[in-house]
Amino acid sequence: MTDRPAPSATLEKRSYRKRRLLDGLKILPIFATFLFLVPILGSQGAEHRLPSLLAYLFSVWFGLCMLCGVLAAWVSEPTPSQPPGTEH
Amino acid sequence: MATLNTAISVCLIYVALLFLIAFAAERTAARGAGRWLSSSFVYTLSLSIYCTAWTFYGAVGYAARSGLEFVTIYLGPSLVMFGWWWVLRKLVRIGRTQRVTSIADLISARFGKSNTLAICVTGVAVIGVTPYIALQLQSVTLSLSVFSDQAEFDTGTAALWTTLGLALFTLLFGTRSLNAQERQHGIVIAIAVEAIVKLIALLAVGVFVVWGMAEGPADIMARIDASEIGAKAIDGPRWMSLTFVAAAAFLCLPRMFHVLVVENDNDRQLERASFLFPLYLIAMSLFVVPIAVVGLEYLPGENPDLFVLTLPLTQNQETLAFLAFLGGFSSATSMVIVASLALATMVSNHIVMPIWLSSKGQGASVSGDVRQVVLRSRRISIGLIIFLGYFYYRLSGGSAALASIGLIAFAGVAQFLPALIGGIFWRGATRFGALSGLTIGFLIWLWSMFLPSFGAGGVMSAELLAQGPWGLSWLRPHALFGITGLDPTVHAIWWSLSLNFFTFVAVSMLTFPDPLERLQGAQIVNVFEHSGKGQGWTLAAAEAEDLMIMAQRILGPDDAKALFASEALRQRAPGQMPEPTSEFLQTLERELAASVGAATAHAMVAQIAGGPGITVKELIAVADESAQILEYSNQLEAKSAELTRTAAQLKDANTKLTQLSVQKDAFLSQISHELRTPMTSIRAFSEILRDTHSLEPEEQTRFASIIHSETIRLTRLLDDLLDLSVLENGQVTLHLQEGKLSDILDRAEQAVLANGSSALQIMRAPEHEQLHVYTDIDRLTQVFINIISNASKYCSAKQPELTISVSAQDTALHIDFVDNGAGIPASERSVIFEKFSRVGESDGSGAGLGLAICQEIMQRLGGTISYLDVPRGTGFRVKLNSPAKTTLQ
Repeated sequence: MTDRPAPSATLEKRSYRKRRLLDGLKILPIFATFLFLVPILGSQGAEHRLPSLLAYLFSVWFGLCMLCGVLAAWVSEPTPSQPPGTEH
Repeated sequence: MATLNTAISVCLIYVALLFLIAFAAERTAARGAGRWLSSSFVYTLSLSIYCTAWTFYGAVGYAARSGLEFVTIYLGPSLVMFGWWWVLRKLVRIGRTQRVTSIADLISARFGKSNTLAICVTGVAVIGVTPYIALQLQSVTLSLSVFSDQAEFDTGTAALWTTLGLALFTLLFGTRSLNAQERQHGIVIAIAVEAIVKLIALLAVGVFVVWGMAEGPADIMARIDASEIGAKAIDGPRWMSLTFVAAAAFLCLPRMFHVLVVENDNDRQLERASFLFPLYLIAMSLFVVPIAVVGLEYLPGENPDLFVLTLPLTQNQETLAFLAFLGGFSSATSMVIVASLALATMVSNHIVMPIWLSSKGQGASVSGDVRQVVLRSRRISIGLIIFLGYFYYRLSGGSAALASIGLIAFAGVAQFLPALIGGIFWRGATRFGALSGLTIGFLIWLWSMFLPSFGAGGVMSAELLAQGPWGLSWLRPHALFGITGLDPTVHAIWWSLSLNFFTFVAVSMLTFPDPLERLQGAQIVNVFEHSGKGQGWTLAAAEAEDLMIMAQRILGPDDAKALFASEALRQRAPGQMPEPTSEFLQTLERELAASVGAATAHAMVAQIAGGPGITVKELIAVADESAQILEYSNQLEAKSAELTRTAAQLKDANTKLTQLSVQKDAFLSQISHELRTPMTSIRAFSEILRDTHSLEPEEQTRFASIIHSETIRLTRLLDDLLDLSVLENGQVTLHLQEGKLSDILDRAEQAVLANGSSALQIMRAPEHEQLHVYTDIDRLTQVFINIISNASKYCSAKQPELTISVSAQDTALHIDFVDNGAGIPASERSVIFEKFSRVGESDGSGAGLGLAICQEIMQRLGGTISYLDVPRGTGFRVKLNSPAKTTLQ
């Protein structure tokens, strides 16, 4: 847009990666909703006993926390070529 | 009994400890130290007030009754936190830019600062949350009863003491600062400590159950599999509805909104809390099912809500039981404190203050310190809300299962969700839409969930529940519109929220928002694009002083002064009152809003500033795509207007210069004329003397004396001019000394009448002239000489007389000179003090500078000379200020 020197390829890649990570952060609640709704899918059958459901739910839950933490940390990390607020 | 006493002492010591911690935190914050107080961890821990006594005790009971379903209460908030980028990030940004004090304040601010809406939201919140507070009281009393001999335990007294203690703690720490936006470090840190205590307590009980009572995780899994809850199937609709309503309540509960949005400092806190808080929730729910399963094994038939307490007691683990008790106590107290604080802010800002202001009838211009009124109303509201909870507890008998009341409260406050989410994402949402959606949702919730919760024969009769009112079966509380077979909770949530949502959207589409509403809508929906701008104010009516008075009453003198001083500095006028610009009024309104809420602050500023004006600039900010272009052209227009103004100013200055130049020319031509007349006669007579040789000696003498007298006149004219210019330039040095007025008048009289040529008789009253004046005697004499000689020269009476009368007033001394002549025509009175002005036909001996000089002198001496309108003759009045101790400069 301005007469800024053309950013090098690596920086381009980083800001591109960052934008995709932000997309990930945005899609995370939908992904989480999907995972949290899995237990009701097989609720009619008897094969889903409580212990396995508990194990599933808590591991998914914990995994989502980690994912959210990692994504948030990456997204908020400032990249030199891209000032915050210009992701679009 | 001994154990009950121990429990109470443990409680008291714990509360005292919390007091100390809260005090220490406030001291640290006041010293400016303790950045950790606003760290992400403290923020996350403060969010844990979501986990109340209901979740602490009730989750186990819930799990014992319905299996895995309890976890939905934690999954909902986790989803909200995972989706922080969408909703919470926007909410906290809006909260900061609009200085929001509560959820009612935010909804009111979004929909044109409507106080009606704020009152409705507050009302729903109070009705929805009061049972929830009752639930906390119930759980504390219930847990106390575990430690006591059941027969002797008086639940009523215990509940009353608990209520009083909670009210006291909240009052002491919650209302220290008026500004709801200010972080209340004492409370926040106390809550954070309580969050840790309840987490450790639950984990400790869980660890004890898994490794103490059972034989590790594998054994627990086997026991779960074998237990009655292990086989419970998940009810799909309930699972989804409860997850949804928990997520909604997490956003909409007044206390959650308070810690999430109002107490939030920066985006970083939220970013960290987005995964830390779900982790906290995982830890809180990890051991719930094991405790429930083991509890059912060991204590069949006992109240499962109390397994957390009773399980350690069965193993004689009293310390652990006390720890668990403290955990439950922490959950209850932290919830009650923040909930009553948040509700009290809403009640006081949106109900009490508007009523109080309108009852005063003067709006913002009330006298006295409003801060005390706000604080008092907030304190009374806190007391009222906590005691309302107590009365609800006594009324309901404290019997219902804990979980059902919690869910009812969740569904009640979830009714704010359409207005809240619609408000921050959809510009088309209107006030009427929000109001009607909320009303419909609230009524359905009341009818299908809240009122039936008192049980058949409570508020609703069994017949009403079964048949519907007046036999209208489609209005049956648990089968609205004839749809039967639904779970009552799912039924109520489904109908209330869906109809709330559709009404909100439909009415919003059909109604038209007013300009302020549209502007606020644009500000809030597009908070990331142009944050920090509010609607403007027309400036004309606002006076900085009025604003200052109002601000002092709300913010307090120091804060108000600081605010005004910083604004003055920003306007580059340090030390003065700032101009009440549009920006300043917005800043001020926002500051006030942080104390009394958006609607009240808006009304108060409107009282002083007149109606809010929406400037072109702000309207442009509302438009989206074309905004940039329009704004640019608008800026150009503003610049061109500024240029026009500058040009006009230059034109004015030029006109003034031209006028001055004309005046100067006139003065010069008059001077030349005055000088030319004597010069002409001097030249003429000296030429006669030079060229005519046959002149008689008498003629020679006569011509020489004419030349001489003309020279004298010329000299006098030049002297006068010099004198006048010195006086006018202010270069004159005054020789101040004290003198008697009669002496000065004597000197003047002698100077005029000395040569005996004048027939003027001067009448004086020496007994009035014995006054001392402190002034430049010579200059004052000069003025008197001038007036007397004018009388002597121009008095037209046959026997000219001049009466000099002196009168001493309070602060001034009047010396009047009145002669018996013809007087000065009214038309000429205005010009006699001008330079070169002469009255009527004159002999040409004067230059017309005398009175001009007199006026200049009197100005220097700090007095005046003026024409005195008398019935006969000419009069002049010389006025000297403060005769006795005149401080003439």
